[in-house]
Amino acid sequence: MGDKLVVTRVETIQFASLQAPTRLPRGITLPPDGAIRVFTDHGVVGEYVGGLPSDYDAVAYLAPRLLGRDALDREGFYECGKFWTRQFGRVGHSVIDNALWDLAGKWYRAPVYELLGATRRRLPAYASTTIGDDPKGGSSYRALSTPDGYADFAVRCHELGYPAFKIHGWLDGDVQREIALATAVGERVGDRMVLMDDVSSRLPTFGAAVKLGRVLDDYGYFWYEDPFADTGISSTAHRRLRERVRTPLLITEHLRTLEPKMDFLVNGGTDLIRADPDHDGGITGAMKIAHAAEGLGADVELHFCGPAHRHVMTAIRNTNYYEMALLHPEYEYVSAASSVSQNYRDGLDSVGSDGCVEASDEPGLGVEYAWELIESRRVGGGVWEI
Amino acid sequence: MRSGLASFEPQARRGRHPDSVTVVAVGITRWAPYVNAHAPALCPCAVCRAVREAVGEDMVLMLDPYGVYTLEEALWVGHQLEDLGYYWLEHPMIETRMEPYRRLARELSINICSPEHVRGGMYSRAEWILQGASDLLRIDPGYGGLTACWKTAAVCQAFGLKCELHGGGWRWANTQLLGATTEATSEYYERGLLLPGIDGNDTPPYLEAIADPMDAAGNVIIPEAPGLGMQLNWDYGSTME
Repeated sequence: MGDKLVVTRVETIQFASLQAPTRLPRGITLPPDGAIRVFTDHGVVGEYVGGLPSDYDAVAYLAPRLLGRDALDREGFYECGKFWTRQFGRVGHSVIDNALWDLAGKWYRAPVYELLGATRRRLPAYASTTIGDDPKGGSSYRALSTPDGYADFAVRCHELGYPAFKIHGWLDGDVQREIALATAVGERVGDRMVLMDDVSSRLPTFGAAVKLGRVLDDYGYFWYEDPFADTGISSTAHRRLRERVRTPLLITEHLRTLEPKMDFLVNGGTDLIRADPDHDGGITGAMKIAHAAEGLGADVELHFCGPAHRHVMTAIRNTNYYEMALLHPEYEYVSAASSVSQNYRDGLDSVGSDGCVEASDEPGLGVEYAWELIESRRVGGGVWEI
Repeated sequence: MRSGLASFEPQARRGRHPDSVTVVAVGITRWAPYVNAHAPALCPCAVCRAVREAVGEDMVLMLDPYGVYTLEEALWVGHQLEDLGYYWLEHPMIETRMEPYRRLARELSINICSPEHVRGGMYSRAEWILQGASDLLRIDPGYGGLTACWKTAAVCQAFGLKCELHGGGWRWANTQLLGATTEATSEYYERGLLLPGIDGNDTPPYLEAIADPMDAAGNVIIPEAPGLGMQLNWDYGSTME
């Protein structure tokens, strides 16, 4: 007890994604996925698979600053990462932090959620769709090309146990089509499913956001997420939208880390706060956001899915749903961890009949990765050693 | 005026997990005189001036009148302390009313360190932050435990403010909490209450060891045993029956 676990080696592997649909829409390419391992002088190793290429660019900058530090000093490294990435978007230290939590859990032989203050086990999930299929735009899929196609998929998700369903519409910003989609899904399953609408910042104007918002009000949608083209960063615009639309807004997915998110909330720009353990300072940062939001009586909703998300959600009271994303009747694009693990899975059929998932009970994040498979698909990476 | 500014790249003190062993350093480079509750405001100012003159420029100094002042007295004393280079004015008025604190914090340049005893944990402290009623927030494991303090620290971090830990001595959770926050969030350990001839180093009969031994450099050492590291003399308890 009380040993200093000196970080002696950091290793990253960027690998060709294994979660690509077989027929991608024209013009869309998937970035490589990333894996990181943190080694210490006590033998215990922290592992994480997740994050974007921009994270791994930043890891190359941060890893030398991690070498020689105490691997258990996550709070200190959070400050270090916050400082050294302040000028380029505060990315990169999330995947390191998540690996350090995995390492700590293995060191203490406890699942991460227990170290965080576990409060529950079953996590209710929502089925979060991919963007819509657009044959004219080059997509070779058809199932989500019409409002009725989405409604059919919502029914299927409900039959699988999902209590909630979130639509991502099309990327062309046609508000009439988005209204038709929200209406069709609301009519079909609004009486038995909690519904959310994420327009992915594609509506061109504030006016279009008001139009769609009033339809969501009529169908009692649970939240309205990143509606229009400011890309979810103007607290003033969304405060004005909240004056006109009753449906709770979920903004701040595109603001990185604790402080700007809370400023956005205090300035009246959102009802619910977004946190993402892959992008907001890791598990450490996500817990800070959850606690700060709790202090203002607000709920935090975790963005996307993955093992870190599950452990964090298990230890938070003020949160509602786990995002099982992204789902399509014919393919899925979920957590990178899920694609390279035998004992961890996100996906359409990975919820129980109660529509819930759980975090692993094994030490750390509890995910066993197929390192040979990851290595065989390597397209980049780095090693930093003392 | 302060000798120990936060480092450029803050290093967290050791001891993130209750099981961890921790040896850490919390700099005692300040002295906080408590004043007589019934003394007029003029008296503590004379005390504060005498202390500043005695220790020179380099020691960080604070004043804690534990809530006895009116707004006018707090303003007057606060301005005196600004001239004397004091770091904070702590809990100067009764904390159940926020408006005088808003006016005080607006008027003074010295840091106001409050609320200390207001109920509501992180919820009330979030309100004090948003109302601009203080500069440094106060946390205390005696109010809601370590969990509440951990959450309050996140609230303060969200707004870029410090929360300084209240109370030491018998409170074994305090050193652990400091071990898990960086200096940018919680800087000082409050070692006391001290008097000439009472240095806080004597072990009371109900303990095997004190919670906050201090090294020659003025750093309090966090207990290294698992959990909170409390070392109680259980025999002492049984003799009371």
